[in-house]
Amino acid sequence: MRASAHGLIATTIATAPRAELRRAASVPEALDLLALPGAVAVAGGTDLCAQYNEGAQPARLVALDAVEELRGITVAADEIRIGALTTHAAGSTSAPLRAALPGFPEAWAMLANPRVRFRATIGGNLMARRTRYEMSLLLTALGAELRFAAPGGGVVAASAHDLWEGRIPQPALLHHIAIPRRRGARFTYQRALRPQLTLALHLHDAGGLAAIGTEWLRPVALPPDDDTLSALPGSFADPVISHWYARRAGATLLRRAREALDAR
Amino acid sequence: MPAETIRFTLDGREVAVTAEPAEPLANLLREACGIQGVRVACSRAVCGACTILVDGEPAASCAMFAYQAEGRAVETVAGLSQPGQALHPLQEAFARHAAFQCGTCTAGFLMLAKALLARHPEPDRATIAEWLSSNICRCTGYGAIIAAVEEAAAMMRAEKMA
Repeated sequence: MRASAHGLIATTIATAPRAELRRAASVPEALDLLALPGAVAVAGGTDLCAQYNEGAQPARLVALDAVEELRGITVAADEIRIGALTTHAAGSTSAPLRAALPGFPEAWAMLANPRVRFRATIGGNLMARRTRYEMSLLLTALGAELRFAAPGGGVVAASAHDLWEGRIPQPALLHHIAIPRRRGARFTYQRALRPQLTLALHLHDAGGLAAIGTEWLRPVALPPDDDTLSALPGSFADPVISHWYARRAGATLLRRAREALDAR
Repeated sequence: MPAETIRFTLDGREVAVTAEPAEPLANLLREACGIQGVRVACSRAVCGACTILVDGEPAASCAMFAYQAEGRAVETVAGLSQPGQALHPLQEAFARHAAFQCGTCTAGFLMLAKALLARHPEPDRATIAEWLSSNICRCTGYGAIIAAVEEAAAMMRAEKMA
């Protein structure tokens, strides 16, 4: 089947021109391949499928499956590192992660559906840069760093906000996510109003951070004790929710989040 | 892109298939391997009709590239039972509850349910509903499908104990 994909029929990976496949075996090789014209990284491939439906026709696919360095979760004394190829299923069921950051794996488990969770990766969720994908919101509340592989070796750090602003190295190869460890850390995610509004709350002994987002707006970090969401920028509104509604409903979600953490 | 030989296990037997590595795995299974039970409906990983198991994990074969099957164990609806042999408990339960109408989604539901029961042998209704939310049926509604999965779970537990 080789439809032209015009009209009402969306392009799919079956109908788009076939891309050249290149397999990376290491991080330096992946960076070299991603620097080629028209190259895109493939981890689980679930969002790439959606991109095809939206008209993307990459010339080259760079398969990352064999780059073992991008896998795994490590809990160190000062930070938690999550490899970019970690699937939602692996992350949300990780016992070390659950012990180090209670509530975060549970929040992670809410993302996507069971079929997608086994293939989609945290790296793909972030690099897709879609506001309806929720990992960047969770990581905003956690104050996480996104660490990209640098061409000369090592990594370059960026925040979730930098990702949205496009302030990331090119070619972009997300290596791992680093979450700082805080004493007394606990986490919850309020998702009952999705897609209109969701809120994550991260509290620890020295303070904390909340993050709020919608299906269409980039996540915004807020002080965890801002009961009226007074710090919410005036621009935080979309065709579905007004700024007024976001503040009112967001305040309710924040209260619920605090109650959820208090109840633990 | 030149074709490659892709080797994997298909429903329990080793296969080597020549295919373009960036073609959809669903195409390879349907056309090169002749597994017509792998249905392709939405072609965008939304509906779940093309669900297969890869190393025991459910996956949308329409949204996987053929190369991603290399070295993996792929299970399709065709491997659930063999002609002349007893049906898989899930197939039996789906038939008994009439948990299908047009049949387009059925293979995907069966494979998703197989993955569910492998992880949750005694699933409660909420767990079944959460898992089945991955797939779409527009004929039956979900009541009969959920009932079939519950019954299949009971049958499989009984078989294990026997």
